[in-house]
Amino acid sequence: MSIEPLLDVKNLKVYFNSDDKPIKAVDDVSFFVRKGEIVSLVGESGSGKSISALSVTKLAPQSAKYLGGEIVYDNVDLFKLSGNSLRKIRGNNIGYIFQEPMTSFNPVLTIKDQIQEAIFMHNKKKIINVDYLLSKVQLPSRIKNSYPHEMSGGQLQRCMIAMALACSPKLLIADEPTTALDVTVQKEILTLLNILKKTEELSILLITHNFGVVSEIADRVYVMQNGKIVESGKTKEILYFPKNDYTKKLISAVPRM
Amino acid sequence: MVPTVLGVIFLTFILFNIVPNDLAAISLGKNVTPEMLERFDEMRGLNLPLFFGKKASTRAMNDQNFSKEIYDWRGDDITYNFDERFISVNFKNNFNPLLFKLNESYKYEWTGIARGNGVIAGNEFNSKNWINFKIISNSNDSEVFFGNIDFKKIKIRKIINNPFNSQLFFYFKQLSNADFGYSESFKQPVTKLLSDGIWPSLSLTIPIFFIGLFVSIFLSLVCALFRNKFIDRFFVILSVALMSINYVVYIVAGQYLLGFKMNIFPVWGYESLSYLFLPVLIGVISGLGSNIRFYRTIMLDEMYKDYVRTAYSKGASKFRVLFKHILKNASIPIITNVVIAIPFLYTGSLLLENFFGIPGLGYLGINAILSADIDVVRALVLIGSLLFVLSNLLTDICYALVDPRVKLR
Amino acid sequence: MKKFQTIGLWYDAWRRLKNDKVAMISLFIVIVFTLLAIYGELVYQYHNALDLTPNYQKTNLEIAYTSPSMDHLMGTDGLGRDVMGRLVQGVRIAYKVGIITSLIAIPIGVFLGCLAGYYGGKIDDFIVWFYSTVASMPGLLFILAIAMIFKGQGLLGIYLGIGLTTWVGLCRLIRGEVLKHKELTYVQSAKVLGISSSKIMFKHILPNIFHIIIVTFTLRFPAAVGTEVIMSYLGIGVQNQPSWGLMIESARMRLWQGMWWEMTFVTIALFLLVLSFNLLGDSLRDALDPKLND
Repeated sequence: MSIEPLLDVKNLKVYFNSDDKPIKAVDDVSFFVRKGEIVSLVGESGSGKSISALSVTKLAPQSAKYLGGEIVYDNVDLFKLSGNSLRKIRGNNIGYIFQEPMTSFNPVLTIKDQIQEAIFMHNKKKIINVDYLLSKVQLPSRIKNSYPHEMSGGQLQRCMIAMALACSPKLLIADEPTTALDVTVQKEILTLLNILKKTEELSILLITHNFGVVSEIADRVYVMQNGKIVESGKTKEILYFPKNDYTKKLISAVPRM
Repeated sequence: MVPTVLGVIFLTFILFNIVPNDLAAISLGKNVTPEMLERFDEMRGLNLPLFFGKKASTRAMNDQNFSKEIYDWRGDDITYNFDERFISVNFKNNFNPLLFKLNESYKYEWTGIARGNGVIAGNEFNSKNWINFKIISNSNDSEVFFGNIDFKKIKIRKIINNPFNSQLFFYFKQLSNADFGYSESFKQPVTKLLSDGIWPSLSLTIPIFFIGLFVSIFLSLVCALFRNKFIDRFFVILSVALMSINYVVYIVAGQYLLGFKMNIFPVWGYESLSYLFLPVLIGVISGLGSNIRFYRTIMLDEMYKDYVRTAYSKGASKFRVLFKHILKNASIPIITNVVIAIPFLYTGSLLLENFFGIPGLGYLGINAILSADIDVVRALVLIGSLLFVLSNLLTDICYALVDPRVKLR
Repeated sequence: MKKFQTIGLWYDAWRRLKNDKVAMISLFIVIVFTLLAIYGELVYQYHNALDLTPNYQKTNLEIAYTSPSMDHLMGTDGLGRDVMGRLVQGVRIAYKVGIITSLIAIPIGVFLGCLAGYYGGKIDDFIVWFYSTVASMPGLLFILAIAMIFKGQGLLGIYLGIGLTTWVGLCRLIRGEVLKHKELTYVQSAKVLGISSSKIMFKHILPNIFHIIIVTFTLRFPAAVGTEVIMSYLGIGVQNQPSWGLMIESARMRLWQGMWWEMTFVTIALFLLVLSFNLLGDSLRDALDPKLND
């Protein structure tokens, strides 16, 4: 693990317009991810964690206004990039997986089609072996001709991971990847992510509201509330010695077996 | 599907057989003899009982109820007794209460209350006191009345042997023979009129349909691409404005500006292809408003879906997202809309054909309405509905073909 | 019983509406037209009661086809009648058609929709079959057919034609909403309390779907007006009163001879009426819909 961060976000401000006052979804937030690390942004709904993660490549909903901050990735400030240049980063250098695998896939295209698209965006000539990608996420190659609705949530999430890794990005941003899945499947996906961290030399920014997930695989964690970061540190430290009241509440909310 | 077809047939039956008091009068107008009215009825089974029954009335003689002063017997030999409310008839010269000769193929039942001495409907009648009488006679005998007879009531009914021989049955029988009746104003069977009119209608509506489709989809994609920017807002307002212009105004303005003032297109007739330009243009523009709105909504609905965000996260450009992802998904509801519009192809635009003199089904329809040509109107309504039902079926099939999630049952 | 949809919904809607410039302008235009319609009705009733000939019916062939002037702001028509006066009467007729056809269509749609949604089962099956059948009828042609059957009975044919065919959309909407509301707790608790079905439907569910009725009325109104214009243009329906359709028809040929005023003013008035109702209806729908779009 090197000290130099792969992704360094400083003072990010993202607001939404509404009828009366603007909503400060992300209010002066700073965090970083090093090579080979799994960093988690944790908080409840509305804390701003998802928007922060999406804002890295300006994927937040169209009504979001990016008001300020620095997003340094590989010595480039993504915040200053626009349109075309940003598109080159998406998928190629930074991959995404989302919460609802069922709706995150285009229902009328095959899995193969959609995975191939990930490569096609960035390198039209490169012939990708979809089977190989699927094997990386422990899926049989025959599913590539299936349609999304023919598969289970867990399978689809694996497909999404395969698709996100198609161009071998160094950073994977995972927005609540396990929230919509069954508990047993959750564990499988988290285990898979951990394996991939090693085999693909992947850094992961993991968004979740569940401290249980955090304790499974995250190296470091940032706790968010109302658009601000209220506490941060190594996972084990936060878990056993939380300083902030809100953090304590979040930790205690995880059901103990 | 079948229940709807039955429903449609029944609904047209209600509108054309049950609702009107006197369809023949509506259709033929005022200056016609009762005989012509009866012939109209005969041809369409309108003098049969509605659903079920063994008796039907005839126009040859209206029901006479002398005690209630409901009668139309007039003549020198007729006296009305106001105190006791009955009529006294002295049938010196074979008085014939019938307005025209009855149909020979039926038997008739005469009923009423009378007294006197003579012959009623060819049968001898002799009673000093008031009695109820019931006489069955054929068409010839029904004309035979003489003697001195007083009546309080008298009515005639046609006897229908088969009680199921009703108007409804008649209608079904017609339809199952693909017989749509006979046009009074054109003096031709309706089926022929339909087959004559369909090609001109199609030559108008098929171009309108396809050109309109492509232009609207293209413009709605433009709106989706430039969502909420100036060009999108412009088209949204333009669409509402286009929708708010009355069809009549489109035709009048189109004919005036492009036909008369600028003299680009011919205005009336069906001689060559150029006669179609103006109506097709008007047809496309008038439909643009609602089409663009509809397709735009579909595109925007798709744009907010999760898979679009996934595509962007892979580095897709707006163009690619629109054409490869959104258009493909949007084509599902679009196809529904498109197939449902098919039935309107055949009616042509009622107005366009009428005002541009295109001799299609729409032109036929308007003229039929204006001249109250019942059979033609009914046929057009029926066929329009059946086409609609069929196109719904077609939509289901297309859905299954285009959407991998749907399987035909 | 607490209403699911509080006054809050209407207040919020009004707030949103106030901020919508387009909606406010449309509302203003609608109010202007409504006042004109009321004025037109008063003029008509006044002359009717006193058995006088109103100005707009007074023919004067000497001043026929005069262009707009101080005496006649919108000019005169083929029989020397004041176009502006007739235009205002046209507003009155348009409003009559719009309101009466809605009075026919809306109760049918709401009643059947409620029954279908609430009772379900065979009643629902029957109503769905019924409205599917009516919906299969080819629009304008069917309306004209109904008007044809009632030929000679004046406006009745138009009212029935439009009223009896345009209730289907509303019925579908209401049925859907009632189905949704039927499962909500406030209805379940009413049932448990033993309140009768019709009371539940009309006192509890209905107020919560009232906004749909308002929006539907606002959007159906211009459609009915437009259809009537087409019908009177074709020569069906109103013949002795200055409906806009009639005016357009008589103005058509004159247009080609250079007399533009009658056609222009009538088409502008018609356009403004239909447009403002459409825009207002759209804005109302957006304002009353709790789920706002981006």
